[in-house]
Amino acid sequence: MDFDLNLENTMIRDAVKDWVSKECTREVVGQLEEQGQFPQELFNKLGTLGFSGMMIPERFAGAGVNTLAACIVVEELASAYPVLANCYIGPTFFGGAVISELGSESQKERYLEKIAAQSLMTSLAFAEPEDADVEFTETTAKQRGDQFVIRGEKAYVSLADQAELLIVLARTDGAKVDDEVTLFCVDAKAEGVEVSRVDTMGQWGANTCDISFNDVEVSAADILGGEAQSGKGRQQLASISDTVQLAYAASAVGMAQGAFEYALDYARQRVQFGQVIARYPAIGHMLSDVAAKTEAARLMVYRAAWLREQGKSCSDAINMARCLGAEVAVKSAMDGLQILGGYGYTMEYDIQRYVRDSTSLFSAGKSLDYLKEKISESLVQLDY
Amino acid sequence: MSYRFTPSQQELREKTAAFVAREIPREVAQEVDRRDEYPHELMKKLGEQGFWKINIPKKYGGDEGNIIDMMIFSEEIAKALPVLTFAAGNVQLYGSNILIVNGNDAQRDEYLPRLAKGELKFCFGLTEPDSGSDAGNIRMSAVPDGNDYVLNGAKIFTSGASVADISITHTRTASDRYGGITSFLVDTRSPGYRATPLKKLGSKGSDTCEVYYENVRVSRDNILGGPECVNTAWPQMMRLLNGERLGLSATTIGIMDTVVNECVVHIRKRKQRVGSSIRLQELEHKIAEMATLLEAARQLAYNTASMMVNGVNCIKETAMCKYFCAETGKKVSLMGLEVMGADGYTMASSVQHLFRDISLLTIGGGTSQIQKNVIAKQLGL
Repeated sequence: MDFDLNLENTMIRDAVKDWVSKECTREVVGQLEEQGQFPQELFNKLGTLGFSGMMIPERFAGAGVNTLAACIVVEELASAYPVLANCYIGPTFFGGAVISELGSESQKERYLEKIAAQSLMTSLAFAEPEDADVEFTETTAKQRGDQFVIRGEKAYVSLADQAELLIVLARTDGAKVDDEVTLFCVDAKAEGVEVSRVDTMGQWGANTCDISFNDVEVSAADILGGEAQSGKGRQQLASISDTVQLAYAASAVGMAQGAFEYALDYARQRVQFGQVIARYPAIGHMLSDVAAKTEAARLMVYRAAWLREQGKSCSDAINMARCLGAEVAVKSAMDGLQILGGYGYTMEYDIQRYVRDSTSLFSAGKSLDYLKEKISESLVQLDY
Repeated sequence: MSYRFTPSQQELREKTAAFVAREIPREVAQEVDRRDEYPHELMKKLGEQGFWKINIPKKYGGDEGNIIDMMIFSEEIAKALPVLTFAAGNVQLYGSNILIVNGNDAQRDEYLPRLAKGELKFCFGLTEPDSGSDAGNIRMSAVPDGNDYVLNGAKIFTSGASVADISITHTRTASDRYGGITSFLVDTRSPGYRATPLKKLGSKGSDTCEVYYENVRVSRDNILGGPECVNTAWPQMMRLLNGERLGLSATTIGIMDTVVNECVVHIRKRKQRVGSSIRLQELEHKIAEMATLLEAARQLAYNTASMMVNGVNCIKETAMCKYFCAETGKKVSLMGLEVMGADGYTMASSVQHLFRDISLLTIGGGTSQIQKNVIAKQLGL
C-alpha cells in the first residue's frame, strides 16, 4: 500500500494549490461573498486549467478519468472557497461523470466536449419542495408521441441559475410500474423552465434554486442514456448518488482543512494572559482533534475515489466518507469560530463563512440520515 | 427539587409570550436580522408595556423583580428574536442592574426612574482589541485632570454602543492588574466618543461596535459608585457575573425551545405527507434528544437562579449553567439544522437564524473555556 500521491496527482494538487493561493485571495473571495454573486471570472479562469474534463474519457475530449484528482481539485478549492468547489462539481461531476457513465452515445457527443472545454454547468433537479425522496416524486413526464412533456416543481437545485444542462427526475407516464421514474437531459434555457433563487444561510454565489417546469417539451432521445432507459431512473440514481456524494465528501474535507488552517493561524498569533492561545490545551487539543478527524475523512475520501475508479463496490465507502466529512467540516468550522471568539463572529474574518458554508453539508444532495440509512441497509443486509 | 414559579412569575411569562405573539411574528424577526438594525421600535413597545420596570426597585417606580423574572422575560423573547434580549440588556442589565448593584444613590436617583420609563440605554464597554478572555488586561487610559478624567483608547464588541446614552466604560487607572481598573459612566454625546457597528454572522441588530475614545472628558463624580470607587471596577464586575450568566442561559433556553418546536412541526408535516416510516426514527430520536437536553438546561438554569435568589454562593453553579446552556444550545441548534434539512438552510427558516444567533453565546459573556477555568478553580483546582 502506498499513501503517496502519484506524480501526476501530486502535480495536479500543486497546480491547484498554487492557482487557489493566487486567485482565491481573501480580498477577492470576501468581495464576491459580499456581493453574493456567482464567481463568474474565477469560474472562467478555472475552466482554462482543463480540470473540468477529469471525469471524462479521453475519446470524448476529456482528460481521461482520474477520480482521485477530481476529488483533490474539489478539496483544494473548498479549502479556500467552498462556493467555487460547488461551481466545479457542477460541470465535472454532475455533468462529466454522470454523462460519461450513463449518457447515450449522442448525449456524450453533445455534452462531454463542451463540459471538458467550456465547463458546461450541469445541475441535478431531483428533490421537490415537499420531499427529497424519489418515491415522492410528483413531477411528471407525459408522453406525447415522440415527445415527453415535463410538468412539476423542483427544489433546492444547486446552481440551476447558472446551468445550461439540467438532469431532471420525473415520473414517467405510461411506465410499466407505478413508481417508475425517468431521468431527462433538459436544456436549462428551454421554454417553460423557470428558475428562481432561494436565499440561504451560506454558499452565497452558488445559489440554491427552485425550478418550475411548465410543460417543458423534450424528446425521447433526451432520456439519460437514451430511450431504452425510460423508467429506469431509479437504478441510474444509485450510481449518480455515488458520484454526487463523493464530490460533496471531498468538498467537506476541503472545508474542514480550510477552517482548521484559518483557526490554527489565528491561534498561533492571538495572545491572551501573556501566551499565544495555541499553547493552551483548551485550544491546542481542540485543533489536534479536528486535524485527526480531517485526516481520517480525507483518507476515506481517497480510498472511496480509488474504489470507484477500480470499478469496485464503493457506495458504502463513499457514504461513510460523506457522513464523516460533513461532521468534521462543521466541527472544524464551529471549533474555529470558538477559537477566534468575538472576532470570528464578525464578517471581517473568514471563519463565519466556513460555518455558513459547511452547514450546507447536512442536506447537500441527500440528508445525512438518508445516507446513514443506505449504509445501514448495506451492512445489515435485511430485506426491508 | 425543581423550582416552582410564583403566580406573578407565571403572569409575567404569559404577558411576555403574548407580547411576542403579537409583536414579533417570524417576518418581523427575519426583517430585524436582514436589515441588521437595532430594534428601536420593539424596544419602544417593550417600554410602553412596562417591561423595563421588571428589575427596578419599587422606590424608583419599578416592580422589584429578581433574576428569575429577568430570565422568564429573556426566555420568552429569545424564542422569537434573541437579539432583542441583548437590546433589552442595554436597559435592564447594563443600565438598571449595574446601577442597583454598583451605583451610588445620586446615580440611581438620576438614572433609574428614566430607565424605568425607557428613556435611556446603557452599554458595557469592557472588551478591548487585545483583552477578550483576558479581561483584566485593560489598557484604555483614564488620566486625572482637575475634577475630570480624560479617556483614551479603544473598545470592541460593545453591544449597543452607537445607540446607548451612557457607556459603562472600563479603564486603566493604576498598574495593579485587577486593582487598577475604574469604571466610568460616559455620556456618549461627549466629544471624542465614536462607535461603529460591526457586521456579524448573527445577533444582527445588536449594534455591536468598535468604539474609539479620543480625549473623552468625564467628571470623577461619574465613576460608577462615586469617586471613592476608583480602582474597584473588577470587584464591581464580579458582582454582576452571576446574573449575567443566568440571563444569557435563559436566552439559550428560549432559542432551544423554538428550535425543538420547529423540528417537531417539520417532522410531523413530513409524517402526514409520507406516512409513518421507520426511517424517520433517526430524526425523531434526534428531536427527543434535543428536547431532553433543553429540559436539562432549563432545570439547571432555574434551579441555579433560585440559589442566587436565596442568597446562596453560586459562582460555580452559574459558571456551570452558562457553560452548559450555551454549549447545549449550540449543539441543539446544529441538530435542528440537520433535522430541518434543506428547509432549515433557507433564510426563511427561523432555525438557521437561531443557530447563527446562538453561536455567539459560547463566546460572549465569558467563553466556555473561561467558564471551565472558573469551575475548576471553584472545585479547588
